[in-house]
Amino acid sequence: MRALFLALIVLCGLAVALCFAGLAFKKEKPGKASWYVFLAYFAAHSLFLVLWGFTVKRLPLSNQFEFASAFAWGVALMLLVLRSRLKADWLNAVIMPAALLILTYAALQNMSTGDLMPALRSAWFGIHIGSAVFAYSAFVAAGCIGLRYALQVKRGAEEKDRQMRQLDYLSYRLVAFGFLFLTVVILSGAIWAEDAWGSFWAWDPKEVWALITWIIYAVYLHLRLRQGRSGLKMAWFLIVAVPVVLFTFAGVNTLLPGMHSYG
Amino acid sequence: MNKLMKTLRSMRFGILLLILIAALSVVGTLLPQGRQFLPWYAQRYAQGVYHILYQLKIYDIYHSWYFQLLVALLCLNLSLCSWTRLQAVRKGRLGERERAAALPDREMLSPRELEELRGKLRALHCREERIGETSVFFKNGFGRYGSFLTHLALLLTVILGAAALTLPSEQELGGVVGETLKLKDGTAITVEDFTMTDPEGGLDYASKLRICLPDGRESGEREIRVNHPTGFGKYKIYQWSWGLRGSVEVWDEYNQETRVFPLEEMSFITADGVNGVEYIGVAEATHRGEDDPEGGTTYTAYQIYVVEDGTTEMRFMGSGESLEAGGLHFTFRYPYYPIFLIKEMSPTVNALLIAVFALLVLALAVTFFFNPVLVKVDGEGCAVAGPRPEYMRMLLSSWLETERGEEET
Repeated sequence: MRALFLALIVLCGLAVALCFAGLAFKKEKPGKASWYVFLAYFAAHSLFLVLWGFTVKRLPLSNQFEFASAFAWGVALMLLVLRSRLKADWLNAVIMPAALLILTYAALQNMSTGDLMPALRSAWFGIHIGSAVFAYSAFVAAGCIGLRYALQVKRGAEEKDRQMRQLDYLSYRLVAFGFLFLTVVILSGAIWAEDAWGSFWAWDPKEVWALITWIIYAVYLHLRLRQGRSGLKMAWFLIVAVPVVLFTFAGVNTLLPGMHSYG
Repeated sequence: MNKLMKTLRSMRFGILLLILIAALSVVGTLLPQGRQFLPWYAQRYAQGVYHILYQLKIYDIYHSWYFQLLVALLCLNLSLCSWTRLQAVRKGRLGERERAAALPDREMLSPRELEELRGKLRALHCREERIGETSVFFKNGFGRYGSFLTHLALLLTVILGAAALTLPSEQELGGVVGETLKLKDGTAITVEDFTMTDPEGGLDYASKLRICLPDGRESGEREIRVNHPTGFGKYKIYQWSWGLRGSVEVWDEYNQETRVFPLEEMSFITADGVNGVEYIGVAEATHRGEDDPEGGTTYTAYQIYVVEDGTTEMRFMGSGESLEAGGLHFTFRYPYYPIFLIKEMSPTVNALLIAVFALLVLALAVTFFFNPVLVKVDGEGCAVAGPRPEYMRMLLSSWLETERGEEET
């Protein structure tokens, strides 16, 4: 399984390299090849998750390695969904590297196949952690689009341009999707915590940072929906919010141990 | 007064409160929380700084007066926002189609494009209303209430959540199999059985309990395990953890009676005051096979002294093993015991809170994915109206671009 996982990194890395080669040399072929390699990577990663799930006999979401792997898969899935709706090759250049980075982080984690600890044996396990995969992936994808937006503005693109407005709207839709899922993460976690720990909320660092992430995106949504803010400032908002998401995902487990420290 | 009300219900004030709550929450995760960490603060900070931190209740920031004040202000802001929003939605819905019909065209379309647009709007399941010569296409009117419902659900979540967190009292109690735990109000919890799927308890562990309330009502046998608590009367009992504690079943030959004793270290069980068993503790012992003197299996065993006829012999007894000393027959029981978390609960608050959670998710889905659509189409062009026209404008411009692009080619 380790070999298969390393193969995933190689495939994803190759897709990223081809994508950047296409951009650097302004050729179409490497860009196309990059997309096909990425599709192969996504298929292989999906297969890996299924095989890993069969090996450990549970949903492959219980430790940092498994979650990071699923997170990278989620980011790749976001790219596929976006590409199916939008004919924009540039999406590859901003989202593929994000998937590769998360995949590399996963490779640095302990690939243990141990049994699920009692606290994790619950029907809420899949809903709570599965929603987190989608929420974090959507936020990272939104941040990548924000980055693209900021780069385009720097290159002189008009913010009123239809494509720029489309970018802005797309990032908002991703945040809305992620926000809904992050809400599900927090609420399902609260119900689960009541069953397992006897309290809906225990001010555990992971809970608190999930709440902080939720507040940050709630502020974004208020600014966008109520005050009609859009454009470069909101793109920067999304870029700056990504490190908070990543800290909630990885930093809390490493630096702030608590009830969510499962390895 | 009006200015104060305006501030209290403003979105800026709400955002400011959220940012302050988030900032204090960050502090709470970076500094250790709980009274038990007071010495940590005393050791780390000078007397004066420590005094300030103590007064600010930094060691328990989430229960400090200023944190609670912020949450209370947020509740006030949410209530006022919800009310204002509801009023705005109700006002906005009145005559919205007539207002849309009166809008000037934003996009001029050819007759063919107008026909196709009508077809597309019908395909999107939009309903059509004719107002004079103009058609107004609309759908997802209830999407307007999404934001109001979201704020209402958030408000209820905070209020009910606070009630759920502050109402119940809790205690941790543990007991060996056969022991009856008495709560303050006279409720008795008898531990009928405790099992672990592996000696380290890493896989799963479960207890069987019988609960008897002060009014005499009995629960019957209930099994609890991690993630599967049981509720009876006003109590909810959680399988919290487990511990190591010996207990022994003693059959007294002389009195013909059997009793179970939870063992304390250095306790001596005897019938005649001289002969019997002295309990030292529970220890790891290794059982070695004859053909494998180096290996063997490790198990948890009772370390005891058997005192009989003036001699003392140290022995290790496994769970289920028996011995006889001084007319007493000792059978050593499973040395693990369950630890429970017993909480007073309010089933109504819990049920309401879960219902509000569901409402919040639903309301968010309505807010984000059921955009109210209001499109005016007349003989020359169209205009998008409604509270959130961005989605339809995006759809329209993207369709027109494709349409006109195809035409050019």
